[in-house]
Amino acid sequence: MRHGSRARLSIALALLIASVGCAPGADRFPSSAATTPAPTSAAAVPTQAKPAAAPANPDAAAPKPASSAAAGRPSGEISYWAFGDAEELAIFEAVVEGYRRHNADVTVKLNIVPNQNEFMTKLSASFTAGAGPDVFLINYRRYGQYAEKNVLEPLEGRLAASSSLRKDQFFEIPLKAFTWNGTLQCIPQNQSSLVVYYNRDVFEKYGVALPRESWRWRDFLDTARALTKDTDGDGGIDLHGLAAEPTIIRAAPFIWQRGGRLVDDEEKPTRITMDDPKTKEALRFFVDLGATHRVSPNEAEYKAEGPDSRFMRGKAAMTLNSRRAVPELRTIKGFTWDVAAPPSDAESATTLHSDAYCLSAASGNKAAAWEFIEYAIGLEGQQITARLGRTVPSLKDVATSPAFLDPGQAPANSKLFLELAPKLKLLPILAEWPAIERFMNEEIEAAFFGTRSFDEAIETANRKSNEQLKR
Amino acid sequence: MRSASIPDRRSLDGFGLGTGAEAWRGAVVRAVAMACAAAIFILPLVWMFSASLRPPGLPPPIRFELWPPEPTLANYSAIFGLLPLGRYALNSLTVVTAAVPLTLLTASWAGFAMAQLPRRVRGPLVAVSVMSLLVPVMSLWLTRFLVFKWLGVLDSLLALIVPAALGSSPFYVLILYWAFTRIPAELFEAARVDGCGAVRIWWSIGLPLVRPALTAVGVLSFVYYWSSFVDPMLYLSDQANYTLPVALRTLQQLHPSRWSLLMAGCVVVTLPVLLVFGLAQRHFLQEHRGSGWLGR
Repeated sequence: MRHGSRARLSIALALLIASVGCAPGADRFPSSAATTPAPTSAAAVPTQAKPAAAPANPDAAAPKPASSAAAGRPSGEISYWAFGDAEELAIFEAVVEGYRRHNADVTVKLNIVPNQNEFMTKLSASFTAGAGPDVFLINYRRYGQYAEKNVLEPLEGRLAASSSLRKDQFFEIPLKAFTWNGTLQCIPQNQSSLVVYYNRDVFEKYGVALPRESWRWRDFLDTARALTKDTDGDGGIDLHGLAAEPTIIRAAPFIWQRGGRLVDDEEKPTRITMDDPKTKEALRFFVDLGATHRVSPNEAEYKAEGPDSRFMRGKAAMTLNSRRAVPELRTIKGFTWDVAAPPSDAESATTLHSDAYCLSAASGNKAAAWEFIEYAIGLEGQQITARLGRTVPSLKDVATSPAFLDPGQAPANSKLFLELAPKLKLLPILAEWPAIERFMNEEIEAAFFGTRSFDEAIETANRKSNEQLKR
Repeated sequence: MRSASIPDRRSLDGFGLGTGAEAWRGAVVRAVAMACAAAIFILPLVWMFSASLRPPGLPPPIRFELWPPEPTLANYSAIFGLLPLGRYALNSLTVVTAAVPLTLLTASWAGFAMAQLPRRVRGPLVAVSVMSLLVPVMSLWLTRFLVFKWLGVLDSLLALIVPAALGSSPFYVLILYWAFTRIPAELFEAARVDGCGAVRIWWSIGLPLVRPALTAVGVLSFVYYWSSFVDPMLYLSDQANYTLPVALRTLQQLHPSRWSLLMAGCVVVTLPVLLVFGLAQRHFLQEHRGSGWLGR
């Protein structure tokens, strides 16, 4: 008995201690990007393959793109990560396949993560462990934390040296969005803007004037009021003038239109300025659409059915969204819809939505990775991406071509997305922005649905955001 | 005043019917209660199936819809077109086929070994097991990532299977430990006297007597590995290695007007779990001989 007990104890201990690291638990990612591990600095990260010695100015020393290098074309394998749904997957695969035809010597291992929060978690964990991708696609509101940690390979020099692309072929503002400390970090794949989607039939049915190009906040509110109706006389609202997410990305255009701002200095932000008088006026107007004027679904209605779905059912006359909504709205058969510019106030402005291809500083095959990016952001790659209709190409030539402006496809006013390009404004590019955005959204939502007073909500959002910024 | 339809207890008892009628009434009440409880759990499955028949592109229904207006099976073929579901299903099957038996082997070894230890040693081990259950799983993501990278199993199905070599979870070890401790020690002692070694005693005496607990661990670990989403998401980078839960999450990102595709995916992913539970439930819920799960 005693003879075997030592061996049994050893086995039991070994298995128990080992199994600590294997406890299945809540098999979920946190819903917030704030809980994702921050990537460690590139200097501290073990690299996948030893990169060339870091030059003092990476752009100056950036090698010429391999596609045009005398040494020949790149080969080997690269990894490309992005996030997207099942339908976007086909487009990502088509771009990879297109590149394979372009250079069969490079194998691109595509990895699509379904959700953006999960994507950020995976990206952070992978970079920290030194197993990040060679190329990845990321939104401008989220790349700050990686740029800050020098995880990204600056691409300014590579774009300047490209034989197939020039910087001036791209829309200017997305390029600005991906410029960190004066250097272009990633190359924009798309740009989009917040617009007003409206149900043309409902406007005509109730004799309400269609949105004009120069409409103002007052017109917007009057229109939403005129189209908020109890159509069956049961005392409940059956048609809402507006259905919109009460979030900062939707409210931001109103702030800029009034002349307000979200940060003290757009180039080098040191403070969140939700307490700026003009910012507060604009937020008050936005929040009052729900809390006071009640032209938007209440909290229960909003939680029961999202704005897109309500608009598609013809139960909301207008909704606010980026280009992303277009493929689904194209399935509407019951009514005609179109897009209009957001209303203006002191000035016209709208929010930029944009994703870009980034190259990892630790990539072991930068030549192939850059050649793939060059293809994906080039004419052919962007034409493939434009097929889905979900994004506005970042390359001017593609955005103005039938690949995007297909006259046979809704919305009829598709060129609006291009007309708004000069009016696009950026949300702050900050490493802490994902967490700050979450604080803002929580408070704006509470005020919009009237569960918290406006002043209290704004004060809380401002305080929490600034605390986050100072960390 | 007593209703005519309610029989007099004494008169029924006098004819020896009281027990039977009460038993009948009890059975009816029990059956109705069970049916209600079952309905609560079955309803989501029924709704999942009916929603999978809804044509895509329609705004989602705003009320409970038991049957869609124009039911179609097209969603089932569509999801196989959108995603390589066959490949993902094969990967999921590979993982559970390897991980579940391995879990049973290692967790039962650990549980058996713990049960054979002197009481003063067992206590701390049980405490360590319970405490390890309290470790938040997300705090392990990065460490596991590094361990898997060091082992060279990142980006392969092995990364999903490796935890099974360690019992998968302290919980499974504890279930089997408790089941083994309920077997009289004399049985093992007698086997030892007859010359059986530890492995023989574990295999021939221990395992047959903890079969319900073993089945429970088998089912639980099957469900865990079948539905594990975070592990493939984090540790795999090659699409070709993805498993079914990733496919579901990918379908979930579709616009709500296309969630009938997600529901079709849910049906495809849920069916094998129901099948396994159906096959295992006799062991899982065994009541005779007082030997249900945990060896009651």
